[in-house]
Amino acid sequence: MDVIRSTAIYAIGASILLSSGLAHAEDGFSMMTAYSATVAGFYELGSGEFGGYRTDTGLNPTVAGLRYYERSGLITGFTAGLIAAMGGSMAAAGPKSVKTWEDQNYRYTETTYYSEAEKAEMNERTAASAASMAAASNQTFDLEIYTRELGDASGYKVNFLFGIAFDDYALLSFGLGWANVKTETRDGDNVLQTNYKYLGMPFRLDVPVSRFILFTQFDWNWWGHDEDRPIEVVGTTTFVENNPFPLRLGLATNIFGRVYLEAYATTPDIGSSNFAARANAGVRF
Amino acid sequence: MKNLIKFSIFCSLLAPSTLLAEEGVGTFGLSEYGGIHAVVGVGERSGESGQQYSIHAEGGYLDMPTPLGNIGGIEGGAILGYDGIPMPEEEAVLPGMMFDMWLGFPITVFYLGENQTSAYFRANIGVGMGTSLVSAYTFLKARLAFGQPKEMNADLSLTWFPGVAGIPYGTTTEDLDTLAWRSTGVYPVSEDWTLTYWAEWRQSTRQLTTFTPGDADEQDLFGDTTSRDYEKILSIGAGIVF
Repeated sequence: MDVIRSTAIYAIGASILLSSGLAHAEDGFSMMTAYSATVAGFYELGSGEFGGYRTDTGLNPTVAGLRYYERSGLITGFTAGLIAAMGGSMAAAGPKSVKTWEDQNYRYTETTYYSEAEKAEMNERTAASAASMAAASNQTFDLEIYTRELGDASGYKVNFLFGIAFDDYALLSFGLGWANVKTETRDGDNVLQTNYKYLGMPFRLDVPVSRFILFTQFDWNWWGHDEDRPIEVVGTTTFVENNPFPLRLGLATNIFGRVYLEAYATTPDIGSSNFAARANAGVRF
Repeated sequence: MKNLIKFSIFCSLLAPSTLLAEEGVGTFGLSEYGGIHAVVGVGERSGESGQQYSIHAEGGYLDMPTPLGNIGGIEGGAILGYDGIPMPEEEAVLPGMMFDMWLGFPITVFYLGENQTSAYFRANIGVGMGTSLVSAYTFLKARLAFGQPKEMNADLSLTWFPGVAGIPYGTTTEDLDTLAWRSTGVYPVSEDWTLTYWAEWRQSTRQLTTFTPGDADEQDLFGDTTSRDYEKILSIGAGIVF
């Protein structure tokens, strides 16, 4: 009875807090498009992208850590702009063409460099391109740091995204991301170790609904499908390398003006029967 | 990590406060800042001591308000110099040389002050990334700044370079985890000249993170993680603001 009573008290308290907070919640469209930075903690349970979904161990790590999430800010744009500027400068400084041919016993190489006017034009185009990237609206930066002080995973995951807005209805974003996360989960003598690697293109769709954002995100992992990766068993320890194609479906809101809440369900692969749930809670600036 | 989590909980407790960051004050109380320092460092690395001599250039622009009243921006810097603190040969990309280049994105989380000319107290946080000759890294920074614009401005920052989000050069089996406490001050001495100081305490550890399944002795990968003190360096310097 005590458990039921305390659960009911917590549920009523949480409902009052949430409804009171939602009364002061920011509009979903503003949340989606306005400049903001969020620092949040996260906690994930279930068979998600970091877990042992490819094994029959039945073990899955608890995943927890710290997240820095920026919307419509500077980080993604400046990073992409910097890379574009460096690439453009290197291209302008390099050769325009290199031709090699052989004639009897000799090999000839003809290298043509860009003229000063061409270099200036390339640098100008590069600068304009870098500046437009830096100033791009609807850019997103998402950094997650996983710690074994709170869960079973250690590592990081980062996604840089640029978005295209469809009026007030939706924001479609895509970009580049990478991750390296290691986990170790124990149940008695049974041990599951996973090594998660991701380098690829994230796709995300945000849809503002009233004071919420509904979102789905798919990470296209260029490391290739993990069905080809070996599963090693040494004694009671199972080691597996995960290269999933995770899909998320969730909901985010911002109560009391600054408290950011997000929850989503995720599966390591589309069509998989494995699911995990994650909650994020933090403060938005 | 625990400290960062406590810090974020502290920030969330402040969340309903109306004092959270209002528009008007940037780095050191200025919306834009640029400075250059000559810096001397003493310390030890892997148990051997030495000195460093370097030039630090940095700049910041913090003038981008959010609808919630916080101010974000960009800051960056570069370090070039001589590194006389011995480094194991396999970890030295260019022995004896010191180079570091970084880009950060701070945002205010708390602000007390009337306007750009009044005394102020400000806290900001941020993330960033960079590379030195020791590692490519990501960092998280928390900074307190206070002072009276045009008279005295100072800041104290704690920067954490998490080992899990960095790539140390010359090794594939170790993480480099660094904490750096830093203070900088700005003192206008005349209409044309503004002086600045630099003081930093940097402490790094290297953590062995072998991740190869093997015999029974190597199964407990995380439990057997070993860490060793890598470097402890105290740097002080002076320079000018432009």
